[in-house]
Amino acid sequence: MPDRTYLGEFELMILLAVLHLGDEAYGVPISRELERHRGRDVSVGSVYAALERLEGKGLVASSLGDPTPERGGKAKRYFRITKEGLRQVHETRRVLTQLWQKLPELKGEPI
Amino acid sequence: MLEHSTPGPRNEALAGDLLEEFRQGRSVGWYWRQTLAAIAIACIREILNHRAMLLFAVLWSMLAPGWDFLIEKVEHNPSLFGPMWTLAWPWSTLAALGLSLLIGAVFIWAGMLVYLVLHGSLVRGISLRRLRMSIALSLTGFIAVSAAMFALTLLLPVTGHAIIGLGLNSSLAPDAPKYEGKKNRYWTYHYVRQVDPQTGKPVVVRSPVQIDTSDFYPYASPAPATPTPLSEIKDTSTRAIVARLPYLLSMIYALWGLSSLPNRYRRTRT
Repeated sequence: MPDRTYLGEFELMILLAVLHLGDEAYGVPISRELERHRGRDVSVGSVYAALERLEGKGLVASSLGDPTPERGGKAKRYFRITKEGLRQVHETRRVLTQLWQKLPELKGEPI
Repeated sequence: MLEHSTPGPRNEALAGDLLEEFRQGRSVGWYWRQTLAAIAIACIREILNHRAMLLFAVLWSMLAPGWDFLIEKVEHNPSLFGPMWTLAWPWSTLAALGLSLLIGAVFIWAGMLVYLVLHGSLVRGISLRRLRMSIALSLTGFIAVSAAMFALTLLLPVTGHAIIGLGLNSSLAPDAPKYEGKKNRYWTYHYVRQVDPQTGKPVVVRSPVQIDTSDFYPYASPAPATPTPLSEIKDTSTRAIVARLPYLLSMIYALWGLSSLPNRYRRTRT
């Protein structure tokens, strides 16, 4: 039976940002990446909340870096996508692509 | 502020991220918005993590008015607790308060037991130390909330006057008054020392005091009953909600520690 844990829009965006950032995926760059593409402010707290949800589902894993002075001696928490996370991203992409392809041409779509 | 104001596990990485961004040129306004948003998100997440417990506490506390009604019959049974009420002040008052607290605590402990049984997985994973702490928390929480309710009921409107009605053997009746019960209305007598205006000699006068057990807090008070914020509530459903409040808050207080995070959040991070 297929896994019915579907990714939310925000979760999918975060997974894609984590994939794109690779080894540099921690709170600040992930938030900046999302801000850059969405064009509006992102709450870092909500990014962490989503990342913890994803970690709970086993789609990402995290590890702590070394504490640095510019961060007040607090360590960075790096995230990386798991095999299952990658599978779900591909699955979501496949479903979304199929759905988009089946749509008739949209009138009045934004440029 | 972020580390100390957020419930649940601390997220130092988040605090570090905000600091890093701030030092790289973000505004003070941005920093505060992010901090407040992070606190709000953490609070909401904690509430959602405890949603089963909160729902149970709400449902269990719905039984509280029924429990109060049931217990009131027993508590005001002269053959059972009459002798306790004839104790000298302040022992009568202390005994009455102790009995009320114990009866309330029994209801809360029963609720905790039912909750633990319903959450079979929680029972297996719980330590005896946490259980003991939770029981102690339930008692202190119930005492604190009951004291607040008591103050709201009796002490706020007219300090002093209401205290006179505290307990059956109050300072007006140091001579151990007689106690008589009849249906849901009880009469007791305060023996007041007065000077006889005719003879000029001190005499003891028996002054009747009526207790109406339909009062929210059935303490003796000179008729007419002193109006208080809670006794002024006439609507039955509102009174039921008020009666549930100490039980609801105490149960949430006690069960919060017991109903720990769901397994998916317990994962040890490397």
